Amino acid sequence: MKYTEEHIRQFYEVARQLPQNVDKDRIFQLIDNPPPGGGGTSYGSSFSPFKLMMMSATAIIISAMIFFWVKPENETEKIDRQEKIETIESVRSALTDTIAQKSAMENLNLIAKERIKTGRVQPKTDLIQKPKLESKGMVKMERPQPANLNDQEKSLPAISCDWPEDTVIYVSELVVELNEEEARKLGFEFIDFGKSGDEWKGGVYYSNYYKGEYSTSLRSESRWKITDGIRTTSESTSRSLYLEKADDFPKKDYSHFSFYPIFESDDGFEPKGELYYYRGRFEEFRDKIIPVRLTGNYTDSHQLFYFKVNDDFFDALPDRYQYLSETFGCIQDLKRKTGREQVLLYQSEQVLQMGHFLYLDQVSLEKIGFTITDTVISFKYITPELLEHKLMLTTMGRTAYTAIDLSDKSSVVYNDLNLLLMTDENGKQTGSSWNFDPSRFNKYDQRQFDLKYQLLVPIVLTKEQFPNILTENRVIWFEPTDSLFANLPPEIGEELKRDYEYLTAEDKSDLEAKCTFFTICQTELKINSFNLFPNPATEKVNINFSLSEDLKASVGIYDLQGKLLNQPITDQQYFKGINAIEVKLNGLAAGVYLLKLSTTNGYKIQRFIVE
Amino acid sequence: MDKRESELFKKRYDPIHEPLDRFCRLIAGNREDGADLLQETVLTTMSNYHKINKKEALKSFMFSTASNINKKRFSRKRHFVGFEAEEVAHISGNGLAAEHITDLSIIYEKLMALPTKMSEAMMLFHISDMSLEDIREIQGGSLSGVKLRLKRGREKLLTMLNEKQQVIMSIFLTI
Repeated sequence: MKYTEEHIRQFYEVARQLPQNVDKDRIFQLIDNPPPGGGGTSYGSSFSPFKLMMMSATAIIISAMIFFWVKPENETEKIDRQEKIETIESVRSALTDTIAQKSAMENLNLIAKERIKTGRVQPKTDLIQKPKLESKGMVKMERPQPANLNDQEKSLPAISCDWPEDTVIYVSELVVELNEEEARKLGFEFIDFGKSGDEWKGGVYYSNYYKGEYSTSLRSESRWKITDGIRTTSESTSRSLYLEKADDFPKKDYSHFSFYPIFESDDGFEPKGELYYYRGRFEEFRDKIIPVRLTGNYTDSHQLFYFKVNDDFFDALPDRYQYLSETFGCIQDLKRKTGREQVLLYQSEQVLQMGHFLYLDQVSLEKIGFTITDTVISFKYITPELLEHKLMLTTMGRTAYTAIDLSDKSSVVYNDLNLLLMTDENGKQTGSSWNFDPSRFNKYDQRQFDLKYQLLVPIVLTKEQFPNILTENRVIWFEPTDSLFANLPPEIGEELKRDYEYLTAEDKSDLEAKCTFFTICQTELKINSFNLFPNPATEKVNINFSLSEDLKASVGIYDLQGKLLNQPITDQQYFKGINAIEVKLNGLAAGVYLLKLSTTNGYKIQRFIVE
Repeated sequence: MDKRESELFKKRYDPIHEPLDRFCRLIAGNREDGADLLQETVLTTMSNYHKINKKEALKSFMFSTASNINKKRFSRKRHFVGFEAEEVAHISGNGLAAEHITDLSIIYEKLMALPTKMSEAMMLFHISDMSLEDIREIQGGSLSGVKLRLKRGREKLLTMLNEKQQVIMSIFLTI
């Protein structure tokens, strides 16, 4: 496509009409009640904490210089100096030809430089105390400085262990959980920007520079709503992790550790390849990194940072994690002895069988309503409220989703092909294609409503099928409707419809079904009733089930690939009759998950959605 | 700033709010940073209000303050390839067709890839409706410099847009 001036003009037009981002009243409120001192940070204001810090650091350096300068030479230093002068003299006298003279001059320079370096002006890093910045409602915690800036990377000591040859360690067992104080020893920094208007802002920051390798910086900020002076909900968070090749000049205000995070992930232990220099190099580092989770007010507890490990890293960890050094040594030892590639596994044990996704060819996809070209896959549908929804997947994995209120409502024809959400193969939501509007379902009773969401039909678009468009497989979840069943290839559509009718029927005696497509069928547990609500869930789900005998039960939450994410209940005793369990979701990311109730007599699996 | 002064400030700020809001959001690159930038600009302007001799120049003062804060605080981001989870696929509900949004986000991406002063001048002129004289005041230099920057910016943007699309990264812009 060729862009013209007209396109750019259109862009300007749209940009000029951008909806308001910050409400004017909010700014007026800020003008009326500015935070103490004038602002969150000090850019442009007359007082600068940075200037203050630099000034005090300079003062300390100068006083240190004066201190060392006036310090009288002791005996050893005198002898040392005498020796050096003698060396210089002997070198000078021994030289006759010009080449030797030249190299001797270099030696002299070296010796001279060395004398200055070791003599007087070298400031000791622990003398520089960073001042606490407590003005302007901002509390900045000091970061420890390492003793030696150019310390080479220390490799792990080779140790020998007698682990069985087939030992497997799941990465979930190695997660290091640190509170704020412990995390500061790894270079993390927590800043509370204080209250501004009715919001509170704070976050975790990380900036590390390691000479010859990489500098890393992290920003993860959150805002909270304040109700009656108390922090309540997290309003929004923004985060980013950057890595760049360190140049010769250390950045100001950075820590200098030889260990630093090189990958990040969420609870699913699948490091994202977004860090530029390490993109695609995960296999290389998989046994040399350790996941760290931060706890506390300012952090997202579902975020894991994978630190490159070495001895310094283990030294900085609290005592309770000192055993990890040995564990890592043993992993290396086992790899060396057995030649195995993977001792450390990054996926939780796969316990559930998959096979509930529908893989369709292009013709069938077009029959459902997809429009497919070389560079775009799109799907358009109109809801009974006459909102036109359109999902577009375009080159480079870009997604766009729009909902337009149709102005001319008279001529619109809609069918009931509704696309409800889009996820990746693990069930994690991608894009913002959610269309849960409970008011649409008021006509159904609660049971029908719950069942509909348990029985969404997942159709997969694979990256092999559309190599120009998709960078990873996408699962599109459709509402199970008659139009969908009719438009699917007949052999799949009919079976799905039969299964769906079987599962939603009150009286199942006349019906028969293979029940191969829905997760709900995957059960061996004979229980009288099983009910999961609310669905879609936000913070917790409740499960009610009735048992015919006393049993021990566990509840686990899995992603769609069957990987265990969370086990809220383990081997708890439940009694004959009706039991109710509340399962907290601990802020699972939006998406589709599986809940598995396992007992000594079998298990039951239910699909549920987190909004 | 006493009550009378802050009322006066509010009155002067009122017509500037909308263009400044848009400008902040566009140069910061996303909603969150845009809101931050706007708040900081207002706070900084308040603490330096007594230093502004000609109060009529508040508009250009605030725009240049926003631009400076952005350069100091957010410019480091330009040197990195980063990942903003918040940004991903939040393009909904502003009444535009999906094709259109994709096109526009590509134009925006390229606009931001121009040299800072150039893209800033283009945004000030075409989006915030500033006069050439105002832009000269904000960016410094001469009037012909501003005109040249705009002309070259337009040409460069078109060339960049029609160069073969390179795979950069799949960040979706909230515009």
